[in-house]
Amino acid sequence: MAVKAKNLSFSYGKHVALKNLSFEIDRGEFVAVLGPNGAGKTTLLKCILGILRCEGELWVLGCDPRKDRSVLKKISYVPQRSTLVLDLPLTVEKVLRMQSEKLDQEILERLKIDDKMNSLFRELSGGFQQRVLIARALMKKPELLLLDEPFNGVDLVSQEKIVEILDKAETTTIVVLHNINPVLHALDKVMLLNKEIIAFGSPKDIFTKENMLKLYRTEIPLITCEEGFVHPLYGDHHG
Amino acid sequence: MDKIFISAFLISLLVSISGNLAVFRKASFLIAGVAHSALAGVALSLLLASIGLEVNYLAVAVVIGIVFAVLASMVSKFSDIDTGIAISFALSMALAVIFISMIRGMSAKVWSFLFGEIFLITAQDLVYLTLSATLAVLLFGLLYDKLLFFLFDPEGAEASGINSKLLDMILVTIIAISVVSAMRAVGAILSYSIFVAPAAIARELSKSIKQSLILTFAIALISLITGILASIILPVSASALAAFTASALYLIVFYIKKVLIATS
Repeated sequence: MAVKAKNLSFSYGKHVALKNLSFEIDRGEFVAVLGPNGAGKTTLLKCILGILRCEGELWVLGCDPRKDRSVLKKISYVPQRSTLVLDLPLTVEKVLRMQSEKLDQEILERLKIDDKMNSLFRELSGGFQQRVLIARALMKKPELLLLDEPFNGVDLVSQEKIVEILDKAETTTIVVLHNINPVLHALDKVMLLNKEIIAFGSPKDIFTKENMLKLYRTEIPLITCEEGFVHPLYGDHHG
Repeated sequence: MDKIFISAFLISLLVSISGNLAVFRKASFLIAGVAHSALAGVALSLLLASIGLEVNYLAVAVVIGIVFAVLASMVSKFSDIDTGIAISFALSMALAVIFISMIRGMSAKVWSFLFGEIFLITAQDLVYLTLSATLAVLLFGLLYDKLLFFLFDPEGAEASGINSKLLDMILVTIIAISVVSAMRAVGAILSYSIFVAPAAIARELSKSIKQSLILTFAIALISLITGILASIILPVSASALAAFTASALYLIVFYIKKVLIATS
């Protein structure tokens, strides 16, 4: 078991962010957490990391991250790019070496960033910045990979490249998203979250009109693709 | 004269480290806040002296400066760092004014810290500057990689097990010690431009952190030496001329960069 939670709750003061979450994620699974803004998606990742002190039972790679901080050595976290301070004139190589001494040439080549080592990170496009962050996370050889909105401001080519890498990564992966369509076909499970778990299961079964109404409190059109996956169509995001 | 140039060198070293830390921490206003809180420290030490308790003014200023910086950093956890600095700034300035009003006879010494004068640097001030520069270089050097990770990616750093609260406290302490020890020479008001402008110019032009540190050091040194040399010819304060040079250089670089971007 990679992550197991029972009655996990977290509040920011009086504001309840997560309420009685119970779920299990097996080792090697690729899981997406989907929900509207303010649903508690990022809060959940921070609870798993032990950064936020949640209530309830929580086991991550066999440890309680609130008590045993050594578990962080086995976890890689890719935060939202908007939290980075891009004023720093850091080269791609310097960013990559923040978490691992040795650079893995294969990962660099797979993400097609091997020729960008001397480029300034802040001068890269959003897509390439995200590739560098994912490469940095993978080079740590984590047992658990957590990603927060990796497709925000990322072009389609980079989105496809990132999905391909995450799909092949032999690690448990939890990705937080507000648009699931780029990654839907590669997932093992989807959690629909809006402070509490609306549904948790296979991506082929989970997208029903009822679940989407509960999640977004508005009707979301659904479309079934040729491969039998149901895609939610929201805003200008198309499946 | 040697004392003055050595001071300029040491202050530039402090500006290089603390100016960059403040700019990259997006807390450049912290420099002004710490400098003004240190005024309260100087005023408090004089107040204590007036009732027979002799204490080292710089030690009190450093302690109050660090308390201010840590307080601002703590408030920033609940709000943004600017709000934290603003609240701590108001508190420390209120204390400074209260202390100054209680020591009317000796308030001139406090005001000398408001504007600073590098020509009035004493041997003791030089010792403090040397100690501060050594401490800042040592802490910065030892924590270089962790500080960069924390400054660039605070959430990622925390998630990788770095104690970001402790690191932030050390960061603001380095800034506080640097600003307070340089205050005698550059003054509370002008320390803001002397610490921030060179780092802000370097941020615009640098291609690496090392380049940013070297460029900040060079711009600070040029500004200070320009101020010192010009004040020998003109009857104007050296620290004011140094601050003017640093700020003017920033505006020139900013303007040229804007023109270059517009024409490219």
